[in-house]
Amino acid sequence: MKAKTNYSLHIAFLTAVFTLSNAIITLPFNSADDKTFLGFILAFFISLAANVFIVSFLNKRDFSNKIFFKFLYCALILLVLFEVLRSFALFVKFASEIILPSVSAFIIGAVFLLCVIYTFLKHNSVILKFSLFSFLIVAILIIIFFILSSKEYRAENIFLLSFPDISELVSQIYYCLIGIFLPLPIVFLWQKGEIGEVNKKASIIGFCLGGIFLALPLLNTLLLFGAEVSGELSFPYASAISTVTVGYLFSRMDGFSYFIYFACVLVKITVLLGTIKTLIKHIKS
Amino acid sequence: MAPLTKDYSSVYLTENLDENIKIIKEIFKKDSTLRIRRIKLKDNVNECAIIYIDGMINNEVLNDSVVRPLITAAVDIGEKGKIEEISSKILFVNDANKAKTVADMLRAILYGDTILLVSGSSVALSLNTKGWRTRGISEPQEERVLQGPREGFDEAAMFNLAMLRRKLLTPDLCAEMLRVGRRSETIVFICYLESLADKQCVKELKKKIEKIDIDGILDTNYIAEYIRPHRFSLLKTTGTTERPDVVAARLLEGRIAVIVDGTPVVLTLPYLFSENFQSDEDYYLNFFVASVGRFLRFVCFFLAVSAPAIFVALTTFHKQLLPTSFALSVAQLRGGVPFSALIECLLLIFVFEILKETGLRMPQSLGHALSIVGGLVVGQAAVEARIVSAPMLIAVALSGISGLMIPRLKGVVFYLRVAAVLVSSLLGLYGFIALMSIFVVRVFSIKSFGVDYTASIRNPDFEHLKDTFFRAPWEYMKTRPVFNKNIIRARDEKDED
Amino acid sequence: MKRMRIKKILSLFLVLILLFCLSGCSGNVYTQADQQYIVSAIGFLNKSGRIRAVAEAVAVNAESTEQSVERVLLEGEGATPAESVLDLAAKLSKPLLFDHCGVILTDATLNREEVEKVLSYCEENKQINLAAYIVHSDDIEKLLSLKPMAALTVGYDIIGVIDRAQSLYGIKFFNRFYEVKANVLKKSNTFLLPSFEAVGEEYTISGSEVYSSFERKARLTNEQTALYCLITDTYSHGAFSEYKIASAKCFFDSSIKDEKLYIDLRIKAQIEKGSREKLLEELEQTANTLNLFFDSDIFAFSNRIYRKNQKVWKKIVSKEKEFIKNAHISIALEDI
Repeated sequence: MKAKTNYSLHIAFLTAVFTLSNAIITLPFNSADDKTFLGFILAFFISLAANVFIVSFLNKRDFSNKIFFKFLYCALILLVLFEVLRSFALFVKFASEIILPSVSAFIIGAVFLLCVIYTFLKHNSVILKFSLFSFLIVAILIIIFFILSSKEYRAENIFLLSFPDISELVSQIYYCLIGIFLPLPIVFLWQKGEIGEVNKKASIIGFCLGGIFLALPLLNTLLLFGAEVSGELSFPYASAISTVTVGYLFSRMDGFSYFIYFACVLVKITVLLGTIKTLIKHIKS
Repeated sequence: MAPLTKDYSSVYLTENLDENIKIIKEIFKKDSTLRIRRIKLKDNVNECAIIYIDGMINNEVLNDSVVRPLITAAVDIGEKGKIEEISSKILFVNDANKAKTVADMLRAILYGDTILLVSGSSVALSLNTKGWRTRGISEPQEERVLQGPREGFDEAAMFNLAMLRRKLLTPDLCAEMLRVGRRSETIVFICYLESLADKQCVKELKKKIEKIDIDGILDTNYIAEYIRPHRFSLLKTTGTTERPDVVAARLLEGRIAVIVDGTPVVLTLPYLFSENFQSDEDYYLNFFVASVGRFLRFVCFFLAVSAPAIFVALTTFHKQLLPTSFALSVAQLRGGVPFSALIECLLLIFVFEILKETGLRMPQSLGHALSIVGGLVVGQAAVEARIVSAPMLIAVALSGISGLMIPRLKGVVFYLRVAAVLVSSLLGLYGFIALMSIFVVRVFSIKSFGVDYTASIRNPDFEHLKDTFFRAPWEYMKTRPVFNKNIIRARDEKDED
Repeated sequence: MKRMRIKKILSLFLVLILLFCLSGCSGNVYTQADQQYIVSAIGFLNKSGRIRAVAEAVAVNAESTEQSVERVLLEGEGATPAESVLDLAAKLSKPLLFDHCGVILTDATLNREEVEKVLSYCEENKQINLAAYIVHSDDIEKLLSLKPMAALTVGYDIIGVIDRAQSLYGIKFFNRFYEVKANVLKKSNTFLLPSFEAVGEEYTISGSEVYSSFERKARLTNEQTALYCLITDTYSHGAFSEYKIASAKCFFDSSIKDEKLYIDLRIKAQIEKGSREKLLEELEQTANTLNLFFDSDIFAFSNRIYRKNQKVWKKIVSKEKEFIKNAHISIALEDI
């Protein structure tokens, strides 16, 4: 009896990493206030419901050769391409400001692009395995940073000051949906194209995992800095990690966190490119 | 291409003994080790000749089992079927095969057999009288163990096969023979357990080996470089070992072994990435001890590759990541060193490699002198003269020593270490992470003879990890590696009820 | 196939060489730590209308064999903090490294705008870590020129002194850069900085400075600082004057009656040593005196009202300053 290759766990972790990707760099957004965390939670549940529906829909449908769908695929390609460029630009901006301020953004972008192309040219099982590998490391790092920062936390930073206004809450939910959860269905499309079907259980579990491991850095930043300061910072989580001290004087742990950003965005952009490839294939057919 | 000697596979023997002897003498006219002895049988009618190469045969066996019986046996061999009569009624050898063509005869003579020619017969007899000397069983230098079997293969494929058979007393063990090399005609055995190995893999392996077009095969690596799937990859996709117990263990996991005559190194395939971190004695020591060793090897691999690179990255690009007291200490110790961190690091890496290689190849009597030169000159004098700094020396030394923990990844570690240092000096930790990501992607994308290179660490569950990052006790090792078709190793207790 | 593979390998080499060449063009990439001045503390003061930057740095002297690490004091002047640092850096043979700057000092000579500019500069300078401490000193130059007591530099010593004082007295300054920034962004814009004083050849925390809207409002002794922390619910456990307090928590409540703001503070403290009545008296005195005298929301009451009682906040927001200045503060001290 030969063991079958089961990639459910990998798909879950891929979805989680995809959820983390750019969001972990910029969360919370510039509009942060005391309702941010509540808005995030609500946005997460709304997105969860939407994704369950999208997964079921994709599993019932197949790619179509009709003209209308080809136009639809073209539109999707443009959207995905936009997301690729947005993610890429954000990561390069982050890397050139935080990781390597003394090196030109062009070089940083070129190196990252090389890595993306190299990963993209491999079989889809490679990106799945890389997601598993990355997520385990990313998760451990996030938990470690969360625990190490705990001595500086101020609980009052996440207390709601008043019963939230609907408009304020809606704006926070909107920012979270647009900034974090909106691109997620692309992963399901990727699965449909590369694997043939969307693994519903794995995808939803992955999304939940991604949500949890996104909530931790968000909490980390809010508890440490408060919503006002977090909203002022360009890259709040990176700034939060830079304040972690282990031992006497300064013991900076930032270096460990660079892998989080690199791996998450690498996986995301590779998956996005894979989706474009699938859509082009179906347009041509 | 230089022409081979004449192809004798289409040259047949005659019934005339003198003519046959003349053919052999012509072939070996420039070889003074060839011996031809003519013997008259007791019937005084039939004459025969034994042909052999001096030094290749066992003289006692030849004299007692071949020459004496031929001279003394009073047997009438008749006119027809002389060879069969001699073979069955006169000779005392354990193995006698017919050789119809001159090519067969040559193959036998050159491998230590004796050829018997009989007047009136166009068929020769190849008699097993092999007596060439071998090194004998000794412990392999590169695979020493503290506890466990200490025998190692030697250069004779037959004896190696015999050692393997002693470990696996089962008729399931198959050993298919091939001859590879146009001039060397090296004997190669493909060994596997029929019920466990992947037949398709065996078939493909045979095809690949048969396709090898080369003058001579002197070592397993000649074959390895021809057959492995990713030829230009630094990562090994075929395993090597000189220990019969290791080969037996791998065959029991469903792998295939390739034994090559003339070398004690045996190939095993498929080969997984996690095997680079296994030690032969992991299975002979307590599982706690073995697990610590395994874990240490993974850590050492990371240290070996990354220590100098991370140090260069931190001191050049990311000074804020160094603890302040350490940063000041490093600044103080590096003060006055004329080279940049990159040059200093590469210099130390190369010196370390030179010392390591010299230590391997030099006579043992000079070992003490070398360690003094290495320690005093590089360690102390260079630091005091501020040619190199102490922190960099520590980082490179740590990396070098960690690399020695994983000898199977020797080449990979060196190239990766240098590449990591180069990339870190250009792009800091960012470049290092990019390089490591590419390496990880590369490892994930490799296959070894159809098997995923990282099959054993595909899922983070006990079944996959029980023999990778740690070694589980034997009672839990009930399944073989996941790529094997016959995954269940042990009987479940429930089956017995 | 072979040609394609060779082309792939060659193009990869070309790209790598190109990257190699291009990456070397950025200039100061190869600066090692020993080729820079490592700044441990930087202070800003106003001298004759111009901002003066004083930095304490460590430099490695490669020529000297006896003392290879030197502590130096660097100075520069300019119209703004950024210009003064630029002026400071221009006089040096090696670049400055701010990544290990642990302390930012402000001076009594800086006015409101200048304090704001200093904080803005520190935020814009990405090298200065958000966890750096901000402290006050009346004489920055004298303080930084003293010999460090325990650490390599005065700057790193100051960090140790702050930590020790906080744990001894039980007070919490919240004077890290991000903590000060957080307080600045809150409604009351009030923050507390430890005040360092150079006494002979030594330096010590003599008390604290309360800043409101970037302006120095009050100077408190260590004991007054402890009382301040009790009132503002930032006290943990420690000893000051004759008191030893194991733990303390302040519950805040506010109400509006007849156009007057009533602030009720209920402090639950485990007093191990000292008179409870005397402590209560001192607390009431401190609260009312400081609140009335300094014409500013010293205790950041507006922030606490905003957080705890939005209804009251909405009523006082238009005349916040007046309400708080004239607020009736009552303190109750209870045992845990």
